[in-house]
Amino acid sequence: MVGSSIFLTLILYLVLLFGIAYRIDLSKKWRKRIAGNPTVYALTLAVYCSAWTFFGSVGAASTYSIEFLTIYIGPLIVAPLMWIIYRKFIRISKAQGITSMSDFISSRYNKSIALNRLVTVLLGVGIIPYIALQITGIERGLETVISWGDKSQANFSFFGFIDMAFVVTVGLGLFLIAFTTRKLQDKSQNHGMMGAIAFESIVKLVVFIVFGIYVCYYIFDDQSQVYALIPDGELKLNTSNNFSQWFGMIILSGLAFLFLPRQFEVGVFAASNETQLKKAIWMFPIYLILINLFVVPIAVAGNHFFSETDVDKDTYMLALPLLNGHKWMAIFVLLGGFSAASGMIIVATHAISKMVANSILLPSFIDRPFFINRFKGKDHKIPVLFRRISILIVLLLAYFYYKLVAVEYSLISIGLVSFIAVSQFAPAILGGIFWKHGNVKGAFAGIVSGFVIWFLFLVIPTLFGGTVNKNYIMLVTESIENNHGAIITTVFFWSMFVNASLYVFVSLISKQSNLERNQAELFVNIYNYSESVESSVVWKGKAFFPDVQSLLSRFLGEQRANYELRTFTEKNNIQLDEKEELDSRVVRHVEKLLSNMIGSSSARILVASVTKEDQISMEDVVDILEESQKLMVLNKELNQTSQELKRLSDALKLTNQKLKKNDLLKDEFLYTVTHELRTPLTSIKALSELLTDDERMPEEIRKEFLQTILKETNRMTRLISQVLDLENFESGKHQLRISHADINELIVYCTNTMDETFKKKNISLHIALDDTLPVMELDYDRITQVVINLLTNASNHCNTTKGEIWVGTRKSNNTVIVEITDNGEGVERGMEQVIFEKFFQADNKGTKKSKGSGLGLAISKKIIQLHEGKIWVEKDETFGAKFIFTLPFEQNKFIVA
Amino acid sequence: MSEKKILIVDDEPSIVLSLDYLMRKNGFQPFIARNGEEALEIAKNEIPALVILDIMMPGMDGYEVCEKLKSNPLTNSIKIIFLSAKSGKEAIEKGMSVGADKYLTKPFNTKQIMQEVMNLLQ
Amino acid sequence: MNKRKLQSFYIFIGFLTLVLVNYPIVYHILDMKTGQIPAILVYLLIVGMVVSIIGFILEKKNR
Repeated sequence: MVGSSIFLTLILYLVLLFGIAYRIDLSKKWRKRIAGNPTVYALTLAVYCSAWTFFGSVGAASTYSIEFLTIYIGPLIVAPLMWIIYRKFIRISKAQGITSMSDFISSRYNKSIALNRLVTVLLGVGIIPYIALQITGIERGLETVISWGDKSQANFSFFGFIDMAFVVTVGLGLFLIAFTTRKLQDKSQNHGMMGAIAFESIVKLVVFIVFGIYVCYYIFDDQSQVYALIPDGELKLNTSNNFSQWFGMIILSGLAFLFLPRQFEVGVFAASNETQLKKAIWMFPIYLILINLFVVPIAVAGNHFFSETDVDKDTYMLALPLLNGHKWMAIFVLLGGFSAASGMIIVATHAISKMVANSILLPSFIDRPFFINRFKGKDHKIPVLFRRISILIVLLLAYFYYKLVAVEYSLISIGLVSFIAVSQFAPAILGGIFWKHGNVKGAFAGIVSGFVIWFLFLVIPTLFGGTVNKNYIMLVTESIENNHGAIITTVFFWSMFVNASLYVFVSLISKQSNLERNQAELFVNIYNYSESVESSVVWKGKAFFPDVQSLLSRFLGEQRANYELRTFTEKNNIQLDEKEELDSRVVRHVEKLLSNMIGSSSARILVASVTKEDQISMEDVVDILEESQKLMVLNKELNQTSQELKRLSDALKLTNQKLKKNDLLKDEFLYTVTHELRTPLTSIKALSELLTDDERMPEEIRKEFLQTILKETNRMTRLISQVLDLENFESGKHQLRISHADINELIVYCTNTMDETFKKKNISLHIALDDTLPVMELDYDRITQVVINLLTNASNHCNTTKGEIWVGTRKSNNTVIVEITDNGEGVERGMEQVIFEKFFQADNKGTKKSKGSGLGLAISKKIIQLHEGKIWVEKDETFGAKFIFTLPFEQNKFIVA
Repeated sequence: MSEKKILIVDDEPSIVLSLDYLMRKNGFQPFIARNGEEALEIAKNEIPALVILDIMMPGMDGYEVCEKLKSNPLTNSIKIIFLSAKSGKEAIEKGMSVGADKYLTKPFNTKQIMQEVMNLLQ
Repeated sequence: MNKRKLQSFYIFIGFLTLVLVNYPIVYHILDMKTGQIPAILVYLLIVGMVVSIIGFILEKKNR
């Protein structure tokens, strides 16, 4: 195998990563896509699966123990809890401008710069070997592929001393410098880098699954064939089937998943919003399942081929295809391993280097005159410079650790040692966000004690082999060799026990400072304050606007600084006056903005340098917290009140509109009625005048006049009684008098009443009644009124030469349907609704006069509605108008008399 | 002597009845139209001296009838009296604007209406 | 679902899973087989899927 072709592949892959990150950073559209995307978020969380997953899992599984699964079961259990824990982390970090794990811890505990540094150093000590482990993973993979069948090429290098691992390290360092230190102002969100990490997560998953399928179905015929190779009863939880060890490892992995700096980085600081969490909670477990699906079969297959050879168990993934002569597959796997390792290296280095720069380097140098003079006017370059320096420091340390120490150990043990290191921060962090009384002294005590135990029992043996104190080292190293898992869980248990106990104990016996009390409240009850952190933080002192402004401009640039200050003051209604003392909220906000960029320690130092801070008293803390609580309650109440007011005014508006409409209707009605009355009145008046004036009028004309007068008087009477009727129905004065009645009998009665009219108009009547109708509940007189009205209308509108009217009843569910049809012209299209309205006859602007039905239909509609029935008209194709009304058999609202 | 022709346009039979009698008694020859179309037809054929015109009628309304009469050279010299239940200022103004000679409201006084007819026909 | 209820749900799933993947349940499954495949692997797969599915449902229900 030619090393240079592999080298080229890896370089191309790195170039691809650069390309992706560059593409995303360059385009606003892509940045936006990455920023809020929950899938990308879930994929970046998978940075948890490093080279250790890729090669180490198989190595561990080849002992027929499934202990390696604990590394994934832990996160599986913790995933739902992310909603409780990570959501709080995200909220706090956003509210306080926190961008690193050490800032997070120190912000909670008295903003202690010493604690900040301690956390940074310990995390470095814990994580740098882990980064080295990834380099080891890459290097071992390369070595396996290159030296397969030709041992002489084992140490592939350039010019005899630059090995591949170094090239890779430098490449990744450049990647970090390019994509994480360019734009420090942008609230620490490195979308390009995150996009590349998500991409790497896809690559490693795809490679693993493809390789699994390759082993199970290409090298072997079937998956079950592979499983059949497991010796009977040999699949164990761990080497000694120890359930407490299994449990301990699960808890350890769960804590590590939450508190590894790289997880913090992708899960908390890179999160754009909290809803991303919900999706990640179910997507991430699926990822874990998929990437572990083929681990056991691959390990079993590896054992099948290599158990008697000297092939390293961690390299089974590469040895399998090489043995079968599939070099392309080996390179493919190598690429997957590389993506897993590089992803971890990038994020972990980013996280650690940010802490090193912001917590150790910057605070030490930022207010030195040398730097201030050297970078005059270009202050924003200071953090960039330090960030770059720290990236190099971290990577070089990792590289040397790899060179000097790491080669000796299996991939999984260094990883677990790191896990225990980071879990030492769990008590302080979890206590910090859930327990108000935890304080800085307790945090110190817990963290230091935990790390001491970790260092004594896990680090010294790996560092010095057997040269320092023979007996002690022998004791520890031998127990690690013989009972690897047991020693891990034992150290984990004891370190955590001592750590947590001391944290609680020391916190209880020592007092919190006032500042700390303030921060504790803000951390624990963050959901109450997240909107108003600036006003909930106590800051007392003298500060003047120009000083603060120029400080912020140093790092953000004048334009951006002014913009930030303006938006903040406008949002909070703060008046800026150059001569007056500055509102403390502005000072807090400036500190937050700076903290976002250069870390909380440096931000604090800088803010203190331009202001004159006073000691804050307990009363201040209590006051301000109470006040901001009160403010919140008040706000809430105000909100409620204003909402209620809005609802009320809406209701009022509605009522007003209704009233207006009613008024209009009333006017129209009045107009119609007076107009209707005027016509008969006119003729009555005219005819009476003529009768009075002309005494010699012929008898038959006199008679005709008198008859007409009578007719018109009747017309008026009818109209008036109808108006009264309708008015009474509408105002509720008319109640139905419900009794039991036979609707068919009622209809027959009505037609009999109308018989004379029909005969006079030569109308033939057809009746078709449904005999099966039950006795119904209805108001007999009112329904009679309706039917008579409809029959009268029909007789007025049916064909004048040969009038025909059909009346019918039928049953439908629990209602009766009554139909009255004539053979006239039918109701004009579009008027079907209007004819039932009381003001139909004459609209007051129009001059068209339709042959109206007066108020009869309006009254009929009212009556039917009171019976909870419906009335409408249809146009019959062959006949004229078809009036239909329905009535329920029973009445619910009325008592049957 | 030829009796002067008067056209009565209204859709209410009872009103027509009184006007018809009134005109006859005062020596005119009344013609009756129940709607606008009928009125135009009769006006063209008979060229009456005067038209008593209702406004609210089914189909064509009184304004339209008036406009048509006034725009036709054959009939534009016919005097027109609106007799309507619409008593609003707007309605009266509109009536006069379409070319009517007089606007009277219902209910009317028989003597007054006769007086107006006589005045217009002098 | 309100915030408090949702939180309790998530905590409940977390702890339920912790119980499901530990002694004594795991102990009883360890020696079983489903066909050729060791039952413990299938069991853990199912537990993982269940966690994921519940998470999925909770997400959809709380949009």
